[in-house]
Order: sequence, then C-alpha cells, then structure tokens
Amino acid sequence: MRKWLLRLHLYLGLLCSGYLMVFGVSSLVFNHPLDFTKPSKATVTWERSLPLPPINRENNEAESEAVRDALALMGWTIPWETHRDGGGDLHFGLARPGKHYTIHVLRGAGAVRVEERREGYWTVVRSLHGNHGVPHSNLMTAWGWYTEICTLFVLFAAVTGVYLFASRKKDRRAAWAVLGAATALSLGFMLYVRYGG
Amino acid sequence: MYDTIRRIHLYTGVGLLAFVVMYFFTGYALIHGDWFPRGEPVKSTREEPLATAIGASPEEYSAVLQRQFGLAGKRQPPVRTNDGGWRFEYIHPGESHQAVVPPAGGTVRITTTSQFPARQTLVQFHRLHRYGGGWVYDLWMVMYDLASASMIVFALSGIYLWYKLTRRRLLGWTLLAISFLFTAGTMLYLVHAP
Repeated sequence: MRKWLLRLHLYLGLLCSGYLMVFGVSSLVFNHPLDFTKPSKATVTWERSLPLPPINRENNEAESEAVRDALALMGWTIPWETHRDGGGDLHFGLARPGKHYTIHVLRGAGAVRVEERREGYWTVVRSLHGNHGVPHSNLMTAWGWYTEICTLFVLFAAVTGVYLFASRKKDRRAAWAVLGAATALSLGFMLYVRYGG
Repeated sequence: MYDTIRRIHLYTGVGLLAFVVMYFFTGYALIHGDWFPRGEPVKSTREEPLATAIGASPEEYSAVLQRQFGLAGKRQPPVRTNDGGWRFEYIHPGESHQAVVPPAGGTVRITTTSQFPARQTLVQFHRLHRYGGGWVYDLWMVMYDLASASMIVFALSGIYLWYKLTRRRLLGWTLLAISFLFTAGTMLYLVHAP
C-alpha cells in the first residue's frame, strides 16, 4: 500500500509540477500586484474581409459569438461593451486570457475591424490560475481538465503525504507535532477571521 | 542534501497543510459554484450619528468608524462617492459592512450584509487578497504568501526527491515533459495566438 501511494504521490506530482509552479506564481501576483505585472496596453488594429454571419438584431450575444467564431477567435463576449450603432452594425468587446478585443462589424464593407490589446505574459499567468475553459478553445478546455486534475491531486497529496510520513519512523514524531500545532492554529485563525475578524 | 530537501518538503507540507487544503477546497467551490445551493444574503441598514475626526485621513477615519461601530472585517480602500461623501467597506468571510458618510457629515448609514450562502463564504475566504486593512488580515496575507510559495517549493523539492529516489526515470521525465511543455505551450499560445 505504501509503495503504491508513494508512486501515485510522486508521479502525479511530477505531472502537476508545471501547473503548481504557475499556480504559486499567479497567487503571489494576486497578492502583490507590482507595476511590471500589470496588463500591457499595447494595441494593434487590424481588419479582415470575410463572409459575415446573418444580422441578428434580436440577439446581440448570438451575433457577437457568430462573428467571433467566423474570425476563429476564442473568448467571452462582453455584454456591457456591446451596442449597435445607428446603421445597425454591431460593436462588441471580447475577452480571453492575454488579450482583449474591441470588434466592429462593418457590414457595408463586408469586413470586421478589430482593436486588439495584448496584455502580456503576467496577465496570462494570472488568467491561468484556476482557469477551467475558454469558449471556442479546445486547448483551454484541456487546460480546464488539467486544473481539475491538479486541484484534486493537491487534496490527494495532502492526505497521502500525511500517510507517507506517518508510516515511516524517521521524523514521524516531529512531523505529527508540527502538523497538530500548525493545523490547530490555522483552523483557529480561520474561525477567528470568519466569526470575529 | 536529500534529507534536507525531504525535510523541507515534509515540514512545508505539514506546516501549511490547513491553509493549502483550504485554498484548494475553496477554489473548487469557486469553479464549481453550481454544485452548491444558491441563496440570498440578508441585508440590514441603520443610521447612526457621527462625530467628525478633524485632521484624519480617509484611511484613518475608516479605522475610527470600524472601532466606533464594531464593524468587523478587512478595511477596503475608502472610495469617494459622486456627491462628495465617502464610502468605507469592511469585508470578512460571511459578512460585510458598508458605511456611507454624506458630504456634510454628521451621520453614517451602515449596511450590513450577512448570512451569505455557504459557497459565497468559501469564495470570500479564497478571495481575501492584499496587505492592509488591519493586522489580522496582514497576518492572513503572510499565510497566503506562504501557501502560494509552498506550491513552488513542493514542485521543485518534489522533482529533486523523485530524481534521487528513483533509478529508472523514463516515466518521470515523460511526465515532467508533459507538464512543463503543456504549461509553457499554453502560455506561449495565449500570448502570441490571434
């Protein structure tokens, strides 16, 4: 039993090690939003002529998503950045990890103009934290599954880690003492923050 | 060296186990909100007379209000309202208070939101970020930073321990390659893809 739990702890840990590194760094960035970690404001504008999906005045969201898919982009359409101009052309925002787009549908020209803001690596690192998928992206669906696996692994590793040290004489007493004291203090602190803080 | 790294891995784990488990459990509640029962929190509002605090900065005044009216929670940065008054907020898992002082002063309107559904309380634990807002919350942030850094420590020390513990390393190298290539590849894709 010990041998198999050690193997699972070890090899699943290796499989999740890249994720845990990103997780740790992104968590630190949330708590310490230093200037160099803030999103870049570099913007690029481009236009593309393409067959536009049918106009759908009743449902801006559906038309936004259809335009997103026609452009082969991924991300969430942003309702509060969506409007239709006097000519009936749709304008909407689209967000995904690392980029923000403002998309202007120009039906008269049969084209779409896109203002693309490239937010940089630190924004991507933050966005990968707990990300469980992005619309219209198979890669990010896979990342979402990776998030599930690694989240469950950490909980599994906590339990197996305790078993692994408890089933070995070396450091057992000291580890139990640290575990007991640290857990009691931590839980007490959490209860204080919840009910008294 | 192996024993030292092993002890680092072990004692980081047992020392921070409660916080690490809390963050991963509450994170799970965050991404699987639909698994938890929904509900509405309870709001109550009261008006109180207010003495001025001449010379106090907004941040100092926030602390004064907190003490005077027993508003538990992490002090948030004060916000100027559109009419020239001030809004002070205090948040802790399970309860939040908002104190609004009009431009003329003299009174404060305190809105308390409590009895959040379980999922929201768990998410509030998860989203307590940034130093400031009281010594209790600064201490919480120290634990948060330690739990975050522990992820990096576990990964690096774990890789070392695997390398020293095993002789046949093909499976390990394969899993490491999958992990780092997938992670790095995803990052590069998100930065550079259209």
